[in-house]
Amino acid sequence: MQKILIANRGEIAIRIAQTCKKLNLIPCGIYSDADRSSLHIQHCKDAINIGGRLPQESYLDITKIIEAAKKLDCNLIHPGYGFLSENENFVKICKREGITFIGPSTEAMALAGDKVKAKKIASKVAPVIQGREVSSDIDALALSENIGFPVILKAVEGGGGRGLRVVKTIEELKQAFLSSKNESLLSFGSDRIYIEKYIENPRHIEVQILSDNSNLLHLGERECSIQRRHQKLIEETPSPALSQEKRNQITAVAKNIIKEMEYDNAGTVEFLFKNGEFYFMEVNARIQVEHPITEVVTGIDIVEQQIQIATGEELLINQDDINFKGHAMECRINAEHPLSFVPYPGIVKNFVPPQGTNIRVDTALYSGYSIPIFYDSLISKLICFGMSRHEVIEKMKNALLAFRITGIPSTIPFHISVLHDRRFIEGKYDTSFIHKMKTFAEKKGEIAAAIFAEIPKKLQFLKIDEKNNEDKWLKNRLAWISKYDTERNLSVWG
Amino acid sequence: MILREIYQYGDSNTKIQVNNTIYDIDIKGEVITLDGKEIDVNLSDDNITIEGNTFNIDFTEEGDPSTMILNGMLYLVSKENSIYSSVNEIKAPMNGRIINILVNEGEWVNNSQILVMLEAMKMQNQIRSPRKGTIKSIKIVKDQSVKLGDILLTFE
Repeated sequence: MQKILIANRGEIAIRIAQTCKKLNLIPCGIYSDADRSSLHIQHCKDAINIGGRLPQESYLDITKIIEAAKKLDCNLIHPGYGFLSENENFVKICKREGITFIGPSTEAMALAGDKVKAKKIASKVAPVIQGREVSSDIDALALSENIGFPVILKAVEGGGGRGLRVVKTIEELKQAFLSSKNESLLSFGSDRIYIEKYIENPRHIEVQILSDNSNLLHLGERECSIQRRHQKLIEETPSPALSQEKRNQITAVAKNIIKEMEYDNAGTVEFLFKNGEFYFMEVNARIQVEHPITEVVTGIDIVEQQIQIATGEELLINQDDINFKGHAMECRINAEHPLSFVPYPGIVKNFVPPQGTNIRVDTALYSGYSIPIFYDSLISKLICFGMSRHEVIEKMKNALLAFRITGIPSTIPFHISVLHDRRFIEGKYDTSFIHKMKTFAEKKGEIAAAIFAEIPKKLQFLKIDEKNNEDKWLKNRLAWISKYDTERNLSVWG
Repeated sequence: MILREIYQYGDSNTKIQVNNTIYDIDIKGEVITLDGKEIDVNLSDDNITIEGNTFNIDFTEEGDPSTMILNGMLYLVSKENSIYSSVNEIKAPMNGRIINILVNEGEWVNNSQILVMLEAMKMQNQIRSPRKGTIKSIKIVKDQSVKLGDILLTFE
């Protein structure tokens, strides 16, 4: 049996390990010093501590990861998402070391990573947004005046929202150009910037592709417009914005782009969609966080296909084999304060995910787990399936209400609010959705909150003496009175 | 059953704003009234039941406003006034031994500042101030054993 190193952590490492076991591959893992109690270790046959806590010292350290692969006798590496998943140099080094990288070829990775080149090639077969790379602030000014404001500045070699600047007037341009350049250099080690026409409040729609260079197929689209600071929070498929005709168009165009780029393996073609027109944005050369919704409506295991393609075997499925069934939605549950969205690491007291048919939870959380401060705030992905969009929304609402994550705040209240928003229910939303959102809560819950706030903590505490159930009561009560897990924290008065 | 203790500690009548609505909450002994109407409240280990509807308490954080997540929904709570501000004596919450006194007579303390450390059941308990104010007198010394309800210190 072949061994495969999963060069990642958390839920995606577990997700990949599950497919490996299905395929009779032995999943092996790595973990940093901050991840000694991470659940993904338990899902691997062997796992090596690679030390470090910050990503640079651990999951981004190519030398350590290659070393781990050799020590564990792995001849395959799956990078997951984030970290080294789109690092061209890592792909090269894997190849040099005789390790099969589960992902696209070096050339395809390099092309997908260079947004300017990718856009140039895509423009042969797809509508693209006007714009180009700029060399200086003077050049930036000339281009912006030519295409007209507002414009958006992006890092050529970037991603994840960093280096992005929206500029509405000529006066703001120079400052924005310089700060975008700086941020890009700090984040990605490159200060190449390109500018394009800014499309205000578009929808964000992407197409999942599988390609083995001879066979090329799409697994439909995903609607990802519910975003906060360019980070996706809710995704669904099919998109409520597309007619069947538009769907056929966008998937066909996505396939053509992949073909032009000679891209292999699983990939995602991202588009902006506004007023019935779509524009190519970029190709993501990795498994994406939101891949489960596609798996749920197609029955295709995307990680399995990635491994199939990367190990040099042909895709065993054709476009005709893909049947789209029903509707799926994913809510990304992050350990973040529900108001400020500030990451909120801490100790999870209770973790009780919802259960039932057509509910999938991808997570690495467990009761008592301490969320490290060094990595992503994503703690759980809740995926629901139903025959209609309406059914999925109802299922998701119930699943969120049944989802108990206590001790830390999460984005669950945000998701419940979105699912009660008329614009979302009607499918009429775009990337500006979150700015106009109202928080949804229950009237009876408001009363409960008011009374809970007013019943003095000391009185709650004194219940112990009457209940004769001292220890349990005390422990529970103090658990949420205290912000600290190990100390009791009382307010007392006379 | 919880509220029997209230006689000892005083009544409260507070206006509390939750999300966008203001609620008038009146606690007199065992009776809680909301906007003039008596309601049935039951507190359990990690939930609160109001008129038969149970809400799990997922997360709470003190602040202005305070944040509460009940059954996965967000509630922001701010108080107009509170019975905390009228507290004049700090009493021992349980039988135990004073292991540290962290304030001095005449010292001005902040809300939630640690006043006294009390050891009981092999656990150290931080006794925090329920209010801002100046400490008038300290009635205990280090290593002293105290009983539930003993006065530890008083405010001016």
